[in-house]
Amino acid sequence: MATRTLFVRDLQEALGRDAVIWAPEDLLVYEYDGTFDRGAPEAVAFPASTAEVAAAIKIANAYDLPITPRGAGTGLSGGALAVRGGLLLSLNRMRRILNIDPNNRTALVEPGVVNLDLSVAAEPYGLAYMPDPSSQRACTIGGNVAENAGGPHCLAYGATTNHVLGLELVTPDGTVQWLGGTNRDRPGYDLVGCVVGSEGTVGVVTKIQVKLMPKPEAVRTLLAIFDSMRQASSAVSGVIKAGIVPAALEMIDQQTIAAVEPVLHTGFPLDAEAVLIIEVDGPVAQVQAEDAIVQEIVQSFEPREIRVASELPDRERLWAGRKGAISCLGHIQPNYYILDGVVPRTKLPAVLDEVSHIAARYDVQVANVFHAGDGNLHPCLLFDDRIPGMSERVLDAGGEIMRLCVDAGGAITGEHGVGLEKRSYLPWIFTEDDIDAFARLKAAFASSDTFNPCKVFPSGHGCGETSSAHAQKVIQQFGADAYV
Amino acid sequence: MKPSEASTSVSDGAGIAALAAVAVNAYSDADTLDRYLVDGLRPAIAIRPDTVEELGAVLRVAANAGLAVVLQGGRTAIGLGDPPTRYDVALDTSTLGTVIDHVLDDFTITVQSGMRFAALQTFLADHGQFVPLDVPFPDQATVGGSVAAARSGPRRGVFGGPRDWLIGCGVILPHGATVHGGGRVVKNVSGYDLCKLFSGSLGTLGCIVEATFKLRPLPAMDATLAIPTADFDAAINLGRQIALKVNGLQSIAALDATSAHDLGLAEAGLVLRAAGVEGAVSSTLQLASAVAQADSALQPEPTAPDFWQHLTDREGTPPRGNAVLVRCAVPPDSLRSATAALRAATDQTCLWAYADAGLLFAQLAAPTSSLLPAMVATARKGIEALGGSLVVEHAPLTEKRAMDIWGSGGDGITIMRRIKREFDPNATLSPGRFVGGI
Repeated sequence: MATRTLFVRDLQEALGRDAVIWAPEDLLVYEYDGTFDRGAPEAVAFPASTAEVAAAIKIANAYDLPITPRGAGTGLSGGALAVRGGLLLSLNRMRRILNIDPNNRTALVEPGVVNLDLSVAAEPYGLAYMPDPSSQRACTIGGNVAENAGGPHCLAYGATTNHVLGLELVTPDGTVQWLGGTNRDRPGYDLVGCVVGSEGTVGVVTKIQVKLMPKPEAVRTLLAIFDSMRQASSAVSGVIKAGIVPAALEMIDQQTIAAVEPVLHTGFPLDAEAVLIIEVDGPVAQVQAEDAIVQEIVQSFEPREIRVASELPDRERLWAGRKGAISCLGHIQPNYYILDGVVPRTKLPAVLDEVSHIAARYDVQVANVFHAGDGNLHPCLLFDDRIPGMSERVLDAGGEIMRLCVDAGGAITGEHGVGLEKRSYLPWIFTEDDIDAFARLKAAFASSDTFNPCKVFPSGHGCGETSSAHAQKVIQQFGADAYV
Repeated sequence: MKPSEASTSVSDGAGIAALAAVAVNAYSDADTLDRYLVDGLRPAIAIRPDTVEELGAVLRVAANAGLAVVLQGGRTAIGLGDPPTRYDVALDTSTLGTVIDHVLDDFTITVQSGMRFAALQTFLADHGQFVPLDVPFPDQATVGGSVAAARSGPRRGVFGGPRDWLIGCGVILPHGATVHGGGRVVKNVSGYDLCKLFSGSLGTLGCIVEATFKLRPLPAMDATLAIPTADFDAAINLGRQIALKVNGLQSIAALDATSAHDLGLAEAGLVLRAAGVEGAVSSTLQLASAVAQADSALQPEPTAPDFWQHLTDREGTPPRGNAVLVRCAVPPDSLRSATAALRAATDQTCLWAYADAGLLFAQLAAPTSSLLPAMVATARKGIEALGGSLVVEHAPLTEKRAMDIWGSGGDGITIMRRIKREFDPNATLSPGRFVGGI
């Protein structure tokens, strides 16, 4: 029998017939995530337990086949793509919330639990899981752990790494171990901190102990429309300088307004250059006091209009234009490429100016959606891939924008991860010695070249030319469903 | 495995001479070396580098010569860990203490690791900012040492530890390479998170030479409310109730009578701290007061920084007599049971806790010091049964050698040992001091 047949048979024996797919037409959907690239696995396994994860890993190892873990496939850096084939390990059947402990404010979940579902489950206890990537209706906690996912509210509450207390990890050699626990201050190296954000390259997380936090007693959302991006940026600086740490500080630019308005009818004037959203939350008295200060500061920068809301439906209306921004971009151009860069927040206005210059130079439209409070920008390059050479131009423009972020003292990713997409940019911000230290850390987890290969690290074997080769189809297919 | 007595590698005269050749400030006189004792052990040489380059050269030479180095800054946590199995070189980082970059409006600062923690906070306070970490003896403690020893204090429940504020680091590895993790931006997932690896690594993997923190604005108002309770258990119970019912507090410290007296309070009780915008602070404390059904005569007072600093300092203060200082981390709701577990190990306790964070500190005394190791073992068993961990922060030297300082590293110990081998293959840095003999 061919190796592949034997491999599939072994997987089926260990996990059950239903838990493995291998027919080419079934595999098709697993070739993609939210990025340009593509990678076809030999088989996809759907383990239902930690033991099955370990068994599947050992089988793949026995055949010397690459292993790539995958959550919901909403990732925006290619981390879940089986670029060298082999086994794609889908954690979607492991989706139980095992425990919610309201007194200790923790939850124990399996990796396939959808981010938002955890907050929904915690709500009866007055608790919430704070990291809220915009894909939270689809993305999984396991994927969030891999990517150290952020979201609009990580400005005040921190990213995933600040909310994960313990993990059950199956290392690339198939060993199962518990790292961390129900609280911090455990003796030893912070292995949980090392695993979170390692982009699924040091093992498969099979259980996650997370921190829950009390749902804010009060929330106040302010939306301000500005004639100029400069005014809006100055308002952001003003709020931060005043010593307020808002829960979220988000902005969209004129091009994004142009995409959003006709679809969502948010009432944003098309000639405005920026819409700013500032949210404060916490105890009632704090929110009242901070909201008054924020309003006064924002007013002083002469916005065209201010809208405020406290109740959930009203707040959601204010957020609609921001949260729905990406899915509206398709109305301007058939395709878009979402970038994820981060710069010192004081450099945002200058960097945004330069982003528009770069886009103009490449003759690509750009719409900006960004987390203004922490300097995390998401320029979206809009284009029509049917125009020959366009995708290549977009990738080049994207590379130049990343370089711009690095030159401004920033980094190549604020929340989407390095993955496959940006691994060649890693040497822009890290030296060979730094990358060597990453490799040592990876080795300590018994990880190898066949475990989630071609991710994070700039060099790799046999990964082939991925970007741009398959770009067009992927963009076409995944465009409107991508999240940021 | 614990040697009864560690010794200086006397055969390394040549290595020591090579070190003296690369170091500008190298000391081998008895008076100076006595200031660098670690668990009673005296190094063969003490070096205080003037530059980061010099520090790197010293590390490389020491590693190549097979010498053992104990990194030290303000030495406020130098008693933490098992006695080193070897100790040749004291490498003192405290002279490398300049501010490298402070970007006021970005709320980030990059400093050299030898900067004293108090100096960092004073510098930032002039700009209305702070790093929200409480560190014992901050006038002495260095930034690098505080990160390496994962120090934090009464606000830990809200602000976490150094791992949660360190956004960038520069670290010299024993073979001399300087590696960086993170960057200087507040949100960043580029590359592996080396900041997490080195935070709390107790100088066993590399020497932190540079640290970048994200910062918080100093609050407009900061207030403290002390609520006396019948005893420590009542304080814990009330602290838990308040933790679950009142949002916005930064500290919920429960003190037994002895701890309270040491801090200038009359009785056991709960001390609460709230900070932020004006109206919010008083209403938060009022709410807490209502939950406590406290005497309405009790009013919040503007926070006296010294009170909270003294409380923090207790985490780094060796107890007097035949006693150990332990730090227990438990699920917060198990604090009462954790207290009982410690009392089951000895009836001589001095206790305080951070009720929101699930941290319990205790000075545990025994009639004779020879009973201490068994007492610690009993206490740890009780704490671990609750899903917690117990670390001995201070112990009399003689008994320390017979005592399990860290407890088990859990399943992760295998990976931890591999990390140590990857980063410090010759066991140059603080050999034997950390969990599992790392």
